[in-house]
Amino acid sequence: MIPYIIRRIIHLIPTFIGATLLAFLISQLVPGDFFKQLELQPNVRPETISRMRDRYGIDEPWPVQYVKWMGNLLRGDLGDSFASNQPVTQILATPIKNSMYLVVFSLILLWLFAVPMGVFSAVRQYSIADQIVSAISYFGLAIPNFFFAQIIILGIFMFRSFTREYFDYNQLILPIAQMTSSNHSEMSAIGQAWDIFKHMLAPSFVVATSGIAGFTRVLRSQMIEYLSSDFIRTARAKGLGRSTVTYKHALRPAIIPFVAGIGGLLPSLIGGAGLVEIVFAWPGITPTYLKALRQQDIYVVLGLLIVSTILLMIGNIISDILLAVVDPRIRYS
Amino acid sequence: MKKFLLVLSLAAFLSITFAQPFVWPNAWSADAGNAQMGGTLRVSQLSDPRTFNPFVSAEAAPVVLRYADGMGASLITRGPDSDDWIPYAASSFKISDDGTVVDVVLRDGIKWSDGTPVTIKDYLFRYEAETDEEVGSNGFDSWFINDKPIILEATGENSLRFTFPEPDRTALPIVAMVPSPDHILGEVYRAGGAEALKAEWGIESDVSKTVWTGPFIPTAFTPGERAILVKNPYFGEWNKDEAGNALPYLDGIVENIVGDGDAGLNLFLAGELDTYGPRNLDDIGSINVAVQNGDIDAVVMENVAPVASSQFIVFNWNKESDPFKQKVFRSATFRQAISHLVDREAMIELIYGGAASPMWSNVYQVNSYWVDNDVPKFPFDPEAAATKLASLGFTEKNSDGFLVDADGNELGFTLVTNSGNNQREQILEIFTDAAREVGINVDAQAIEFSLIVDQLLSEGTDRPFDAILIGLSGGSRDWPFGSNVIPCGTNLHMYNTSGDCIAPQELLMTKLYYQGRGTLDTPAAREIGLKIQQIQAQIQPQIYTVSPAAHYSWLSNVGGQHADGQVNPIVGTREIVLTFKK
Amino acid sequence: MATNKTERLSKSQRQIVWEQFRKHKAALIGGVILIFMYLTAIFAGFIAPYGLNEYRKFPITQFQAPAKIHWRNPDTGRLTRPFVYISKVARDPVTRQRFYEEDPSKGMYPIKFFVHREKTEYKTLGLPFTKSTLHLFGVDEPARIFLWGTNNLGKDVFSRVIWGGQISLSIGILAVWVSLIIGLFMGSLAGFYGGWVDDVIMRLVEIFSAIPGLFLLIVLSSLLRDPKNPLAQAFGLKMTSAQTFLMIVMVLGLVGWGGLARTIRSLILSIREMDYASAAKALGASEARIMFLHLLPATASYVIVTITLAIPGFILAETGLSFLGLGPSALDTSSWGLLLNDATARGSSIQFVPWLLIPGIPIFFAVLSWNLLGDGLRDAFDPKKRR
Repeated sequence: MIPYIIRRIIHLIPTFIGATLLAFLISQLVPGDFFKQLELQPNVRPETISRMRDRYGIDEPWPVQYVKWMGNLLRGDLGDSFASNQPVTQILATPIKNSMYLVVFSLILLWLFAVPMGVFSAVRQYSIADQIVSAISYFGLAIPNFFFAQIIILGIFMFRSFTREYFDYNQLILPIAQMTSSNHSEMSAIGQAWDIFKHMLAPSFVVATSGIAGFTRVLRSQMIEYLSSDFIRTARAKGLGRSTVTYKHALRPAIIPFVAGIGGLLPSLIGGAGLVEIVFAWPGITPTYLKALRQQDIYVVLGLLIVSTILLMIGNIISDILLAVVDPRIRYS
Repeated sequence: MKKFLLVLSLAAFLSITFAQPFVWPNAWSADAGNAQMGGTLRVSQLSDPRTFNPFVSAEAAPVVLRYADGMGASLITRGPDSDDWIPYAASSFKISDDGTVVDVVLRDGIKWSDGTPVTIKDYLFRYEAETDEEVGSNGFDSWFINDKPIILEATGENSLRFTFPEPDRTALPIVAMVPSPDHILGEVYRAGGAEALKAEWGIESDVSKTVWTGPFIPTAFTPGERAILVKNPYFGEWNKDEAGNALPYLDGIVENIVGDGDAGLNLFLAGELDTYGPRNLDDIGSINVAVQNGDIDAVVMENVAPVASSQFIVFNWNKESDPFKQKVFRSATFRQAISHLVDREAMIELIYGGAASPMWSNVYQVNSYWVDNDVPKFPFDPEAAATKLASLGFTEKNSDGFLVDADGNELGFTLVTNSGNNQREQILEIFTDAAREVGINVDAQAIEFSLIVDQLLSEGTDRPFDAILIGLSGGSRDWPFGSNVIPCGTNLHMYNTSGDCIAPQELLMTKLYYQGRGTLDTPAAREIGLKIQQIQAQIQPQIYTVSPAAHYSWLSNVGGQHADGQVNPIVGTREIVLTFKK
Repeated sequence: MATNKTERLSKSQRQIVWEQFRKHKAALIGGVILIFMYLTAIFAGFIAPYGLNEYRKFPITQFQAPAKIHWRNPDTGRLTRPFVYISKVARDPVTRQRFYEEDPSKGMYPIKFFVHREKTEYKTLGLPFTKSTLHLFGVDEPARIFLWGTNNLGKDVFSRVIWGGQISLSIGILAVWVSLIIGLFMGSLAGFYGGWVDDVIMRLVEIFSAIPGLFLLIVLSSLLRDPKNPLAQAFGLKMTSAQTFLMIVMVLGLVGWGGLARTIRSLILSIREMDYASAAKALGASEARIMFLHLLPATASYVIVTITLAIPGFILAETGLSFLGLGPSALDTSSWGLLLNDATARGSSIQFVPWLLIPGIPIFFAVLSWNLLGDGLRDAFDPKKRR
């Protein structure tokens, strides 16, 4: 197992170099120039700007810049942000952590909803219930998630009118923006966790809905395939109970690809949570990325691309390991 | 021995009585009598502060620092009711007759938030660090008039002298400088120089260890979420209200960071924010509905005054490679015709729902003292535009329906604005429709702001754009003409950056600009300002469009706003020091 | 009985698939909806009563609610030709929004079908000989009919949705072609030649998929919207709205080709070993011939399903880009993403103008229908799923 993992990692090196090069090239092409924007501000002196240009080596040819930047990257240094004058690693730590909260929680929600839905519609194939489940999952698939997020916010506001009228409760049932309340710092540790949890509910629900459709549909067809296969028929013939057959013999193999997919899902969900983060003013990766892009804060843009790339690669390795663990058919040497 | 002691204690007593606090006039607040102590004000801002070091920030001062640093012990200040400067951290100040020397005596009893007394050393240190090119502070330029330095020096134990190289209306605000802690940052600067100073008080540092003179000081900061400020305990020792209460009234301020304006509005509608600046009539409507439903209890001030910014179309006079366009763009008649095609009334009604006003001169409407309302105007009138264009030789239309001159040159240009600003894109659209109607082939595009910056700041005799729709904000109450806008050769003299004046009026405006700046007598300066506006309106180097109105809103339990008529985009809605929670 | 059986046996693959597909009700419905939508988009000029960017400054029509269509003559109380009234504008003191009241005193304006409207000349599919001013319906000026209300400048939302379909419905199809062409080319090269070609191409796929799609999309489209971008300079483009649109298609396609290439490669790898490919090789067929005549067609059913399921993803991606202001230019085009952005940009004040949410409905149905169609096709092609 360990040699296999090491081989996998070595395998990733060329990909990593290629991806960083691509990211670097793209970031070089981003239109505009951070320092040009500074020139618009009457109180910034041209000397200051040219000094900053020198410091960041902006005017050197890009291969030189790339090699320098790559050298720093290997030492764990992603460069400094032009806009805020501090290390990129420092700027990115918090948004990545915040996005992770959201993504992990939506993954949990996704599994919580999608697995029962998939199993249910596989067992009751072509029934009305199956069609309702499909309809719900298609809904999540077909609605742009930033749009759904805004509708949820509107809904929460409308629910306030309802609770005020009937229960004399003039508060929103769920927070509609940010990650914490204004008085977060005065709360106890448990209170703080609860506060974040409450803020997380609405956005992670939205993120989860967009994944439910795909998940449910694939799980359903996998289950159907297994349920109609020979070994299940044998199991049934042996007199095993219906639920044992469904859950033990069919669900287990059907779910393997999903377990394996978790690794890959992490970074992709960060991208997926993106627009939702903006609507809910969640202090995560996407707002940071967009802001950096608008400001031409190139090293922050680059840092985010690289961090996501690394996450994706780690995710892929985790997937492979998980697959090896859960799937008895796969053996690595 | 005893007698000696007695004298000593008497002297101490005397110095205490001399430490007169600054008394905040009741006139600066609409309901001063109802003030209560305590409470936290929850406000929002769009983005994170980038540093807590007042010398580092490459942009304007971070918003959090406004309360801690900018509103601290500035030597002089002015209230919402008058443009006159009054002593604040200074107990008195005196301007020499020729306006080039200002003598200031520091008030006693001012302290840093760690309890250390504020002395003139702190002001001298701020001056020294800001004028150090190595530090690269954004305050640097304000210490120079036409590249000649303003000198600050001590003239006694607690008195300072500002010496200006020449009289200048715009220079007095430099006297409103705030101190920086000589006993902390000054030590660092002397020990480690500019680099060490710049490394202090970054965003990652422990903000509770920073010291300030302002009414509120930061104690905690979570990037992307909020900054928490609490009352500076020493501020109240030298700041009292008329009843003698120590100020500020509030215990603290929470600055919520909301990435986008909608999230801010949502928080306000949810009752999570105490103040909010409605962006347009839609926001006002949402707030009104929430108030009517009983969701929140809020005060709404609609359509208070035009905002302190401008929006205009500017043509590029430096197009050597395209002599036809260059000739057209340099023609004042052409630009007057363009002004005739700006349907300001439609823009006001369609884009701003009526909450905006037309702009005819380069002074913001809100600077009412300086605005010349009798400038030449070229209001929406397509026929007048067609006549003016015909006088330039554009009488025939080609097969596409666009005007051509006798040589067959088609009249047309590319007009760009920054994407992401819906309202500006609509101004572009309404203008373009009208221009195409009379036969000008306008190719309208919305592009990234940074690209527009590139185009505007390009220099020389052949620049890469035709026309840009853009806005400017900023400028001073004392001389509302941009030092980097009006004179030829400055970087925001957008229509012509060749370095030389092209039109004779350009040269005249440049002269008048400097003449007015050096005129200390305000009515005389105003006369010069009116002349500048007359010239600019006549030749239309910038074709001004409309300026939207500012709106304000806050929850009803927030008190201490300015009296009616004193709220405007320049002085804002309230003095934070006099703000209280009911 | 016997004849029946032979008939069944002699059915072509296509017939079997069609038979299976027909049983899939949802997919059929999806297909019908799509045909309807694409026809509406093609004949947008005829169906939309107003031009894409047509609005009137005065009297103002901004944010007018969907038109009330009357069926009864108010004087006689009898059924009559459907008609509308002229509206007059007022402002609500609380919401600060304009609202419109019908003004019966100005008379009734019956809805007329197949009317000519000189102001809004259009061409179908850009063909010059189709120039026409004929519209499906309309009312006489100065009345206007806004079936789905108007937007912030007073443009007819219905017309804009119909026109916007041209962009939104074609963006998916065009983008899928871009990624299909790249994906097929790369995938078949890799699968057929193997060796270092395979290595390089698969590494390239991995590199592209290593950068999160959304981020790649955002940075590429902000890059390509720059009038001075390298591509535009190479081809001397001025970045008009049509060219921006094509750039966005390119970006979407570029971001999406990797997965397709990977699957085609593995399909070709497995098919290559099958008997008929070996047979062709033994018969001396050239490599290119084998690839284009034997291997690629074998992937057709898979490719059809994949592109059907990829199109809705591109449609959604366009709405996302529009939400970020990186989509097609709002100045002289309309797309469903842009229209939806009109609504989402209003935040909570959407409560005053809820009809701006209408463009969400065609997005929803287009994405849904493509998915249903794709699922149906997949089931129909898949022998295991036959029923």
